[in-house]
Amino acid sequence: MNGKIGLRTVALTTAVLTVGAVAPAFASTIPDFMKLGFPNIVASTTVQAGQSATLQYGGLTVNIPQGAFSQTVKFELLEGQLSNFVSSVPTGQTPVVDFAFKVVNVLTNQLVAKFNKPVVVSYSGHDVSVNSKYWNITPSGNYASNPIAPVISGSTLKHGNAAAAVGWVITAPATSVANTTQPVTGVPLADWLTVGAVLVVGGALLLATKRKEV
Amino acid sequence: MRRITSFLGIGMIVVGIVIILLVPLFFWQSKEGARALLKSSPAPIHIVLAQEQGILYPAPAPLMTSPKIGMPIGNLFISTIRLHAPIVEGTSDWQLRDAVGHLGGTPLPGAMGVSILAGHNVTFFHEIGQLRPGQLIQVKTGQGIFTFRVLNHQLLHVGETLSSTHFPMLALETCYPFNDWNLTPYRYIVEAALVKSALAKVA
Repeated sequence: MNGKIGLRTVALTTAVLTVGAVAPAFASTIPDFMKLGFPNIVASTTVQAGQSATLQYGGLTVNIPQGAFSQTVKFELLEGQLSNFVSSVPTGQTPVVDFAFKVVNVLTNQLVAKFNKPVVVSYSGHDVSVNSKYWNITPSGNYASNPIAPVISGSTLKHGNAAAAVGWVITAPATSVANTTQPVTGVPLADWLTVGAVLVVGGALLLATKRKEV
Repeated sequence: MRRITSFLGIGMIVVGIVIILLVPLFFWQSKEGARALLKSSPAPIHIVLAQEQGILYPAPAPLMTSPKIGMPIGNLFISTIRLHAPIVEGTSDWQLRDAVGHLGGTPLPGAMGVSILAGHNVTFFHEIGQLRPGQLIQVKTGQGIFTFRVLNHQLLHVGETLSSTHFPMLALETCYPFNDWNLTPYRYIVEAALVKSALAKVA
């Protein structure tokens, strides 16, 4: 059991460090995700330089480690309506939760794109399973595969993010809605008309033939 | 023999006319049946409370077991296509003649998951192909008033399925093509997400 937990810790640490390593790649653009599909602030805190903090909303918990920011920042957790992320969701998946960060340096009022240490997001919900996936949402609203697999333990998913250059969506495998096309929503009106017309014409022909014979 | 031929000819004509008359009769019964359902059994909403809208999705209706087959469960309004139709539980020929039918086994409109409402392509759902993304659909049931926003549409072959969702969704389903006066193997589906809900007060 301890070995398992140890392994998960190592995996998560590796994940967050790797994300930290790739973070500078995102640093060139600093999108404001409040204008990009995540318009609602669901949790907010001011993080003093070098200090740690935790934000929570619903099943989401955001752990900001000590030293993640060298300046005092206002850290906001954003969400948008889940239905906005349905149209482009990868086949076989359905969105479960979406979120993004907005981090502002309180001294300069500038958006902060990258962090000194990865911020660890943890999502707990009955809809999380080992087949859940963690996606980046680009500023144009598209899904992009996150290079680091999340660490999933039971109904909790964890992932580290060292930048705020993308938003994120956690998905679960979509199941089929049984009997979707079972209802018969057509009516054989054309058949009724055809049968009726054939009978009328046939009957008329019979009567006409009989009259001719007379 | 001549007499038999006469009877047969007249019989065929009479039966043929009766069968042809079934077509206007179907439309008349559908219209009158819907009118009676809308008049006699409005959705039993008592007090509707304003709900604080959720962030990921609005407050969903509580999950409950499906009502009895044939029981009226609410009304469907789509102003853009001037549709106001009763909704009954079940999707048999009888239910779909007079109303839009709720597919048993799927959640009621406004509850978590995909709720399927089926309607005939020659009556209630003849014009759902005109619905465009962003347009609104309103459903009133005993659980509240639910407003959905059209997301997209898709064409399924019989036997294919929709995917489940982790938020309240509505799917309107009808046979395709819309002008086909026969049974067809295709189903036109309009998918819409819940964007606003006002739940009825639980008695």
